[in-house]
Amino acid sequence: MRAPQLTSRVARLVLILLAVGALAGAAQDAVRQTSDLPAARDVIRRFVTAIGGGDAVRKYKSRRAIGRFEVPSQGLAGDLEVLAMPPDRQVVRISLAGLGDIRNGFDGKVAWLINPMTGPMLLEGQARDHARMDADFYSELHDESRFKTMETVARTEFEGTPAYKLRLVRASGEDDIEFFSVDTGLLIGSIISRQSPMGPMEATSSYSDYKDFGGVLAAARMRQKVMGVEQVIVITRVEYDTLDEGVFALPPQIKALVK
Amino acid sequence: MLVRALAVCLLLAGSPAAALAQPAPAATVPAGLASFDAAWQIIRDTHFDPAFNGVDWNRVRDELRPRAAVAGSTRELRAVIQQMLDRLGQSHFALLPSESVEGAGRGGPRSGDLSGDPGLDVRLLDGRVVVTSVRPDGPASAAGVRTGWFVQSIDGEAVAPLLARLPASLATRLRHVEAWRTVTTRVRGRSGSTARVEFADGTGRTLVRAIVRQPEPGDPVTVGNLPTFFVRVTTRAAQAPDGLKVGVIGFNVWMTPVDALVGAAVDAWRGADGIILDLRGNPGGLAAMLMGISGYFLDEPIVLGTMKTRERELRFVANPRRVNAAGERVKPYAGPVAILVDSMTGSASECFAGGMQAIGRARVFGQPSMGQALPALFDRLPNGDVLLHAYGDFQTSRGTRLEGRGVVPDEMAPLSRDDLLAGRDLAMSRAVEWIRRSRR
Repeated sequence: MRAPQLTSRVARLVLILLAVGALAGAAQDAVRQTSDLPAARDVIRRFVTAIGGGDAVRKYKSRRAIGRFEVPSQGLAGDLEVLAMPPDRQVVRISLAGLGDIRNGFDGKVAWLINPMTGPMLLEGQARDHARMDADFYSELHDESRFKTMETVARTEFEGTPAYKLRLVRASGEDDIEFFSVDTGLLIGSIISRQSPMGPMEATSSYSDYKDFGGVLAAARMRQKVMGVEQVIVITRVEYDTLDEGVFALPPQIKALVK
Repeated sequence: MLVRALAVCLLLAGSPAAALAQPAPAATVPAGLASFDAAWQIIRDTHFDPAFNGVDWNRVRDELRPRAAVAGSTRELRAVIQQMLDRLGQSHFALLPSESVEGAGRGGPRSGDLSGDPGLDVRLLDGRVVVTSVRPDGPASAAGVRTGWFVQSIDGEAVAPLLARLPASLATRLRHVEAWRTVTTRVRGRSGSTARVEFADGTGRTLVRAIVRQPEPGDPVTVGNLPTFFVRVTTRAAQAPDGLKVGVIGFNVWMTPVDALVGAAVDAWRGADGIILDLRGNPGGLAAMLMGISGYFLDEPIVLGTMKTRERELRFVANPRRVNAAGERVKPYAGPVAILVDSMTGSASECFAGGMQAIGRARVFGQPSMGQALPALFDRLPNGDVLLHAYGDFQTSRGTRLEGRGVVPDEMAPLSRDDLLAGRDLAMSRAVEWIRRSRR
C-alpha cells in the first residue's frame, strides 16, 4: 500500500474486504527506465520529497487516522478508522449504518477479516502475504525490495492532469499502475487488481486534497471506482504516536480460529 | 467494492419495499427528465448483459424519452421510467418512489403509509388468495383470523376483480407474486388503523373481521437507499416422532443482524438430528450474507454459485463458521439440513437455497420459488426516487440460472387449503420425515 496511504489503506479494505492478493517477499533491484521518460525510481523519489521526505515519514512510530467512507449513489456512509504501527501492524475499521463494523487487521503474523455479512475469517496463503504488504507502515516510500520491476511506461493524463504512469510489478508478478502528477510529483491515481473472497476485482482510484498531517503530506480524499460504483474516502484527522500495542491484539473470534 | 461485495441483492417485486408505492406528488419535470436519463444510463453502463436481454436499449431511449419530457406529473414520469425498465423483461429492475423508500416501515401519519402490519400472510391458491400464516401475537390472531380462510374483500374492495386485472400473459410464478402484492398492499396500512377484511372460512361462511394494524415487529434495519426492513429470526423445535430432535430456524430477510441470531440458533441445535431452515416468504436481502450463513453448515469453503457481471465473474464461497459468538471453537453443523421455500421465497434466499441444493448440502421442500434472483443495486435518481437495477446474474455451482426459473424443490409440497384449515404444514412434515430417514 503506498502513497496517500491513509486513504489507500482503506481503499484496499474496501476493494477486497481485505482479501487476497499476491506477492511475496524477496526483492531484486529491477528498476527500469524507458528512454526519454524519467526513471521510475526518480518519480518515486520526487514523490517522497513532495510529501515531506523520507525522514518525515520514518519519524513516527504509530498512526491513527479517522475519517468518513461513502458510497454516494447507494446512500451508504459511515466512519472509518485506520490504526497502524511499524513494521506492519494494522487495523482498519469501517462502521456502516445498517451493516455494522467491517474490520480487518494484521498483527505481524495473523491476517484477519471480520465482516458482519460473512463472519470472521483468517486470511491465509497469498491473502496473508498481501495483508502483510498492505500493512507496511512506510509503504509510501516504495521500498524497492517489494517490487520485481518499477517502470515509467508513459507520460499521459490521469483525469485530465498530466501524469507519469508507472507500472510496478510486485515480486509475485502482479501489476499495479500508479499515476504521478508531472507538475507536483504527487500520486494522483492508481489502478490495481486484487483477489477478493469472491474473486479478482479491479479498482481505479484518484487521490486529491493533499493536506499536511504532522509534517507528512497525504491525500485526504480518495475516489475509487469498482465495477462502476464510486466510493469516497475522506480522512479528517491523523494522530501520531498515541497508540498502544494492545490495539493490534487479535479479536476473540479470530483468536479462536487461530487455535 | 464494498457495495459490490455487499452484493445487495434485494428483492424487488414482491418485496415490502416494492409494495410501498404510493400516490405521487406533483412533478418537477426537468428533474424528472434528468431522472429518466440517469436511469437509462445507469442500466446502459452496468447491466450484466451487454446485449440487454435482446432489447435495443438506444431505441428504447429514443422512443420513451420524448414521453418523459412531456410528463405532466411525477406519476406519469414514473410510469414512463417503469415502462422503460419493463422492456428488459427481467426481475430486479424497478423504480422505488422516494416517499416509499423514505417512509417504509417507519410509521407516522403520512397518507399511503403501509407500515402497519396485520399479522397475517397470504398466497395465491387455485385462483384465490388464502391466509397461510397468522402471527400468534398479532392483530389478525386477536381478531380470530385462521389459516385456510380465503380473503374476499379488503375495506370494501373485492379481491377477485383485482386478481382478474392481472395480465393473462403473466407467468405462474409472477402471478403468485403479483397476487400477494395486490392483497398485501391493501391489507397493510397506517399503524393503528383498522382494516375490515371479509373472509370465507372452511365452511364457506362469510366472516368480516376488523384488524387493527400494528407496527411491524422486528428490529428495524436501514441500509443505504434501501427501505427499512424489520428483521425477525425465529427458532423452535419441529414436531417430530420417536424422540427425533429437529430444530427449525426461520428468518424473514437477509440483513446483517440475522447472522448472529442464526448463529445462536445453530448453536442451540448443534446436537439436533437435523435442522430445517424456513425461508418461505423470505424475499431476499444482502446476497453476500449467504457466504456466512452457509458456513454454519459447511466445513469447507465450497462455492455455492457465481454472479456474472459485465466485467467479471464473482464467486459466492462459504465461510466455514468454526467459532461461535462466545468465541469458542466449534465445528459447523454436519447433520441433515432441509430448506423450505415457496412462491414468495426470492432473490438471496433463492441463491442460498439453490446453491445449497446444488452442492448437495441441503434438500429443498415446498413450492417453486419466485425465480427473481438477480443481484442488484439501489441508485438514487435526481428526483429522489431509487432505481433498483440488476448488475449480475446468479448461477449455482452446477450452472443453473435461477432467474425466471426459481428453485425447484427436491420434494414438492403443494399448498393445500385442507392442510391450512387443519393447521398442517406439509413441507415441514416432509422435511422432518426426510431427516428421520436420514438418521436411520
